[in-house]
Amino acid sequence: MTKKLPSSTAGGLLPIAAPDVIPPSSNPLARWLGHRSFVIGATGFGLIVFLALAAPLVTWHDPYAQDLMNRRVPPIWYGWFFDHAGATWNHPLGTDQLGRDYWARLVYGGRISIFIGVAATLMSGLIGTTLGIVAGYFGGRIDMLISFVITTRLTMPVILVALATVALLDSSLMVVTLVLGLLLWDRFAVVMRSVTMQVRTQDYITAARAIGCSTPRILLGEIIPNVAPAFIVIATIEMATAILYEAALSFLGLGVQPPLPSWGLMLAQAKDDIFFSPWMITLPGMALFLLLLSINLLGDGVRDLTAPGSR
Amino acid sequence: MLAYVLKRLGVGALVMLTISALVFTLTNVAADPARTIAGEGATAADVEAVRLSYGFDRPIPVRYVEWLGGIVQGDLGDSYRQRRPVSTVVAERLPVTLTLGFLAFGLALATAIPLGIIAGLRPNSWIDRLALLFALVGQAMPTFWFALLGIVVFSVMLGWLPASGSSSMLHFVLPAVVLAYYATPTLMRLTRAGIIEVMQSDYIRTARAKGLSRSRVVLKHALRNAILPLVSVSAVQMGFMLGGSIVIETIFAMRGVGYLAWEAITYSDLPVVQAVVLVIAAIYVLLTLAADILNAWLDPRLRAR
Amino acid sequence: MRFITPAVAIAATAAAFSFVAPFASAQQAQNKLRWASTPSITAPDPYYNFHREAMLLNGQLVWDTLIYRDGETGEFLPLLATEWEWVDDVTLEFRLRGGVQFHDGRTLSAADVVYTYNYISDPENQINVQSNVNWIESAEAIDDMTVRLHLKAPFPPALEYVATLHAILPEGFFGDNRAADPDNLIGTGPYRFVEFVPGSSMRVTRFENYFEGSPKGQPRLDEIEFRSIPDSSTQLAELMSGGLDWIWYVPADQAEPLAGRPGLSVKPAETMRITFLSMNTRDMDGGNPLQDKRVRQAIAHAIDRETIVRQIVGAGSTVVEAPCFRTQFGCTADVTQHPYDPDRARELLEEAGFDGSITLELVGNTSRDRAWIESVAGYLSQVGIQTNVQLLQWAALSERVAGNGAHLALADWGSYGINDVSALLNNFFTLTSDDMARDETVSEALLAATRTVNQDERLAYYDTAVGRIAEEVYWHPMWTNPVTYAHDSDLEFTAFPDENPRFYLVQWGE
Repeated sequence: MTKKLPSSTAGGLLPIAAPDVIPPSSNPLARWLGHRSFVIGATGFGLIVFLALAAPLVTWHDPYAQDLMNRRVPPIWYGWFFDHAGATWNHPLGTDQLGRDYWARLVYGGRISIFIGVAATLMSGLIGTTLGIVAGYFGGRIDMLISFVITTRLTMPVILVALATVALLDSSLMVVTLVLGLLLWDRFAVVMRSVTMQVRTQDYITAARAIGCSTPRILLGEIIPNVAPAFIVIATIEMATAILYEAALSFLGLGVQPPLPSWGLMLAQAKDDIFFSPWMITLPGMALFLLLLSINLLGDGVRDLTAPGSR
Repeated sequence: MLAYVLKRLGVGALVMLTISALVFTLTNVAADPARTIAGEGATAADVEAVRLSYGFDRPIPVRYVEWLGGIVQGDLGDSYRQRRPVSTVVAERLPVTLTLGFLAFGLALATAIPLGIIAGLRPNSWIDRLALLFALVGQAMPTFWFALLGIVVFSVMLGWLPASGSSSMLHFVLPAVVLAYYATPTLMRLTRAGIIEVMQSDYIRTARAKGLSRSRVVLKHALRNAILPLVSVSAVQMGFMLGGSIVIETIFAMRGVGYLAWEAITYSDLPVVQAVVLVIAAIYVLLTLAADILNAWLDPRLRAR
Repeated sequence: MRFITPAVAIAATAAAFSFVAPFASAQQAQNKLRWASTPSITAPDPYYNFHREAMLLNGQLVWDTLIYRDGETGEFLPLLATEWEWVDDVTLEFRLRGGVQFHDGRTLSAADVVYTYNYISDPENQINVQSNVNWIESAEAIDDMTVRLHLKAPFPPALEYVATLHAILPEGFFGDNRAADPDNLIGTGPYRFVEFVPGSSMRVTRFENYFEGSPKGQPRLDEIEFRSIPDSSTQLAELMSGGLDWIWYVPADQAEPLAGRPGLSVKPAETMRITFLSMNTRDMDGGNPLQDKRVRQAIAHAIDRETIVRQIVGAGSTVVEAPCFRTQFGCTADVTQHPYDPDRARELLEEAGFDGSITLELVGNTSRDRAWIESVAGYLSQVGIQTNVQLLQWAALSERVAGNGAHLALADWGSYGINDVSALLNNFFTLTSDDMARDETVSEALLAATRTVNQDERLAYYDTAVGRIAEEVYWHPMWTNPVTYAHDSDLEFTAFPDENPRFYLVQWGE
């Protein structure tokens, strides 16, 4: 079983072979800046993160302040193209079901979505990487045990288990983030395990062992730096996955709680508007789409740039 | 080979056992089934009576062993909400989910493989970029948004396809397309990467040098090797799709296992939730096993082992 | 990007009239009605069910009750029983109509009625809503056509339940395993089952031998088909594309644009279901600010119900002044009012020693419009009361309330269409697990009112109970829940205030 694991899982989860040891590059900065998808992805992601962090500076309404007399004001372009009287620069992207400024909610909602993505990924990354490195480095029975745990996790239907847990326990930002973090570590574990196995057999590790370096020292000093690029690649994939899962949970009525404006929740709350006020679902939809696109492009870029003999 | 299959089945059974324990504990710790069964307007005494008559006051491990004993004999318990055997309820719903899954998967493969081959043969050409764009969009699009857009365009505006239900094959078109798009990017990228790698390998160069035509080389040699990793990934992707169908089935009101699961979760119908998790896990175990066997059969190097 | 842009552009610029017109003429020609609702029906009978769709609708289409309550006048009319009377405080006698046929040709007799009542009132049989039957002792046949219903204690609203919820089944309907035989779903009603697909759909067709003289009239449609569609946007899409003829609970914000679509009628209607803000006065870990009456008053004064009703809950809804529905017996409107007055709310909070530092747990039902609870939370935050909002499924909600895990609950109750205060308040104020107030005075008054049949005494008890609930602000009554129906405009449909669409009265127009 331990032998089969990589073939039936690692390849499947990561649509590339796990990267080998990274070759040094002559001019790294130029190479990274010359890579189109990396640059586009990093810029897009950076911009969204910047907006989310600078939320109070780029918005002029409280995202939670309701104004029931000014509900569903359409975005400003409805004034330009459809002669909609309500459209105003005061609410450039309009207002929501409760008259809250849509731009402010989108910007603050970015914080929530990114928080879920980053926090869940950090947690799953920590769990998965630890398991993967331990299994890959020590091998033997430990590897067998951890591989069994990984297989068990892979066999569980994530959405279903997440949905059941959140529904039965509680659905709050913390619970949703925790549940996703505790469920989405499989890819980290699988890839880290195989990368560690490859690194372990390299000459310099053998040498380090021979001169009597301690295990923790080898793990920290030699293994970790070598698995870092793979970590970043998977982290981008998992971040996108966590954000998408949160959106799906919200759609099924079990995501973060109102009045928090996560993009998934905004999308879910506006679903009935798709027929008559489509901008209400299109705006958070596009925001989520651009965020996920940027993260995926960023991930693709890092993968290409750190892969051996990258083209 | 037989020994290998048996060993895999053994591990699979052990995995299922672990999952069953996890799911049973999780659901029973998190929810109070007595309240659900007692129903709306029940007094505390009613709830307590239900708790006693169903034996929910006993420790979870005891109830787990009892439940497991039932499963071994094919008895998954009774649905609290439907008051019918869970096995019947799930069996009624499986055909729709499996049909949807296979249709979507077939569609995903039918899109991903040709697109991946074309893109892989001409890396960085415009068609390659277009294919990658197609994949990126698929990865960044929340399924339910895509599904709703599909309903707006094809059901409401054009009136070509029904928006909900699962009573005819026509009802499967929209959901299958949406679900397929969810699985296509991974498969497409994998095919592309496989083709690129294979085309640069020595034996393909040799074959080309021998004067074999490009299309012949691709079809006869490259494809077979490029597709090998696809087989195992396919099993994983199908497992994902079974999970993903929960959203699709709910939107399109399809009478499948996903919709059943969502409903059971909504009504804290624990035996159904547990059964659906187990069934999907079992399907996944069988799929990965089938994929490994298929892989061994396709790849002589593995067969020798 | 290139792939998605056209679709988004189409969706984003689509004006309502660019949708295809519904092709309802086909349904009209077939004299068939197709409707859908959110919950899935898992049992066809009206008793092993949580859902109105089966309890009320099937109960009335496939089965009949002993007596009938007229939707307009509220008057009781003969249905399966032609005469009925109170023999004493705890005995009701019914004289059955002769010659009523079940769908399989058998004739209705006292044995069927006795079977039905004895079956549903036996707690061993565990029908879903025990409070609908737990006041019944037993039923007894006096002769072939006369039945007596024995009550455990005086229960004045008994006839309301008999007329609305107690569909009469043929003898032996449930068999030994407490389940209906799917091939033998027989009733006396104007429509009979042709198909039941658990969790998904049901079809009924006209029953040709439906008895003459029923207040429901002879069946007007040939076929009625029900489907479960969990997602509201999918329901809207089906209605607009002609896949459905009738839906209800249309989200308030979609009602107006939907009404602008040619070929569709949209009708908001009030229901007996009232929404209320329930306040927990029990001891809680870390103290409970709501034990101070001034805080409860402040909460009530902080919420602008008029604006919420007008802007969010929408057409068909009105503000509720007393903690009950106005037509319910015992619902007196002459109680303490807490009008919107945020300044007064802040004052009261200050008097109580709180200065913008209160944080409360507010729970609500996840299947209601989120904007409702969000707007309430929004108003509370304007006077300095912060809330942690939690939307829960009803079982979890009820568990949370019972477990003392929330300060405030925005909940609602439909009284099952029963026109008596006991159907509402007894669930929440008689020291049951859902009772957040635990007030002995209220509880005693409510229980006393159900033990007598003297109308004046009952009114006096309800004055006490309802008055005290309002005075102590255990509940802040909010609004009546509207139900918005949307249907093909060729369909002749009338809405009644009891959340009970009478499909037996529906027909296609010219």
